[in-house]
Amino acid sequence: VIEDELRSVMAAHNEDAPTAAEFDPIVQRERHLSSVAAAVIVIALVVAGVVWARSSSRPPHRATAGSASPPAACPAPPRRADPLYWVPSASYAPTYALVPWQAPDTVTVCGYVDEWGTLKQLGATQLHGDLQSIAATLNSLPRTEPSVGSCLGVLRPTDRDRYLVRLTYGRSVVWVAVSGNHCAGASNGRFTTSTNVRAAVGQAYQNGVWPVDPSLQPLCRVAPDPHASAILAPNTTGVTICIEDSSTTVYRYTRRQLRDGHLLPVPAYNGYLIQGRVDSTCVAFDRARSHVVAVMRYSNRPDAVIMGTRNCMQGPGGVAMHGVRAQQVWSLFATAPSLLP
Amino acid sequence: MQLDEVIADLMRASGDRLLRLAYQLCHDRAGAEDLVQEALTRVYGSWLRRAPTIDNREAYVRRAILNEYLRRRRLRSASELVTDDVPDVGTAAVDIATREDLWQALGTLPPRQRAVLVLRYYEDLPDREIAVLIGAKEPTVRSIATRALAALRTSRLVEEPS
Repeated sequence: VIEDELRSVMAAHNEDAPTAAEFDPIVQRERHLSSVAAAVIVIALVVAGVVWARSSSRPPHRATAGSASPPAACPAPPRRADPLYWVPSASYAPTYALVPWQAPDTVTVCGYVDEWGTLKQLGATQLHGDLQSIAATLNSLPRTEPSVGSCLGVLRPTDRDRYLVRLTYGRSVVWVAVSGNHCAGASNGRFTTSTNVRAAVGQAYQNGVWPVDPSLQPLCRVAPDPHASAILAPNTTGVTICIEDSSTTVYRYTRRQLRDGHLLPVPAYNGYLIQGRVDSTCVAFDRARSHVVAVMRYSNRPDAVIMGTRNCMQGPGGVAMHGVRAQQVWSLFATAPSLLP
Repeated sequence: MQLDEVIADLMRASGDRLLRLAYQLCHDRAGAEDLVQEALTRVYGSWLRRAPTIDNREAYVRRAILNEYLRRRRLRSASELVTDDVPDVGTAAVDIATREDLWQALGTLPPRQRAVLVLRYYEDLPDREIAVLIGAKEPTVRSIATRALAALRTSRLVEEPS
């Protein structure tokens, strides 16, 4: 019966269909934009550009805040054909985060505005203030997950604008490309985040200081607790660790345990400790950012929970470890033998 | 919740289903993505003017996908067929030797016929709902489906001379 065969054939081709995880609407809009839609968008951009130019809401060349544009700090504008996250160089870009944890010597934001389909350089703003806080914020942004999608592409006049953030560490330079698109992310060429930092970077470019944006607060607070103590005392009786596998869209947890007597060779802060007993299984946490949850049991004091990423481990008190020390802890947890068959 | 988030949530929850529907219509992966993208863009504009209710978002986008598919096909030449495989035989002897070729034959049907078959046999919608979706009366839907099935059966007869 042909009706049954039709059902069967259609069902059989389900697997050939693209998936939401593969769906990249930004690229799709660049590649498959229909002529009618393109014409509509071009007209919208032109109208918006005229309105903008007249309202002067976007300064053509800003130098009112921050330092004057340092010479040669910013490269020539990316070309239209360059990737969305084009950076001049990724030589010093870390692979584990957008920027290193440590405070940069300087942070400069280069602005590029789309005019009639061509990017033109607006200027450069050297940021002032707490550069460590900027680094901490950018450092804590999560890696892009494949499941993130449904960006609507070019819908707003600023969507084709771009920023390049230049962070210097001695003679080294780390570049971060930030799309002006309202739903795109940022990348250093090796590490890409889908977190939209366009607004923050745009304000930093305008004002010369990084704005206070609650949605972009770093995962860990910066100031260390002066009363540091060992997170694992010699009388630690056990550790239960939950590893979050962020490589899949389904988060799985693997309970692991450190070998008896295996102590973490890193110091930590009192902020880890929580009051009372805790469930030894996984606890609720921010799935987008945390990769490890560890519940530590002690014979002579309450259990403690720490959680975090390769770059930043934190306890319920907020303050935690960063950089190399966090990586040591994370690696120890991540390589611990599984308790499950 | 921002509209961006609404659509992001919708795509997380229903993206695969929507893309599969588009693929059944287009028989082409890039075309399916393009179709969904275009439908989302139109939905976005519509929802900017009027916020969607929680229970009809996916249905709304499905209908936008179908409308966009039929709209595009109207713009195309009637003789234009979108297929990866160009048969090396005359059109009168389209080879439908296997079930896989039934898929190819399905792809050669006129857009409204293909849409009706997809809605009927893939989505399992009753003719009454299909009529609403394609903007026709129920008897018309039955007629379109009959013609489409007859076309596929004819191809089958050509293919199975024995």
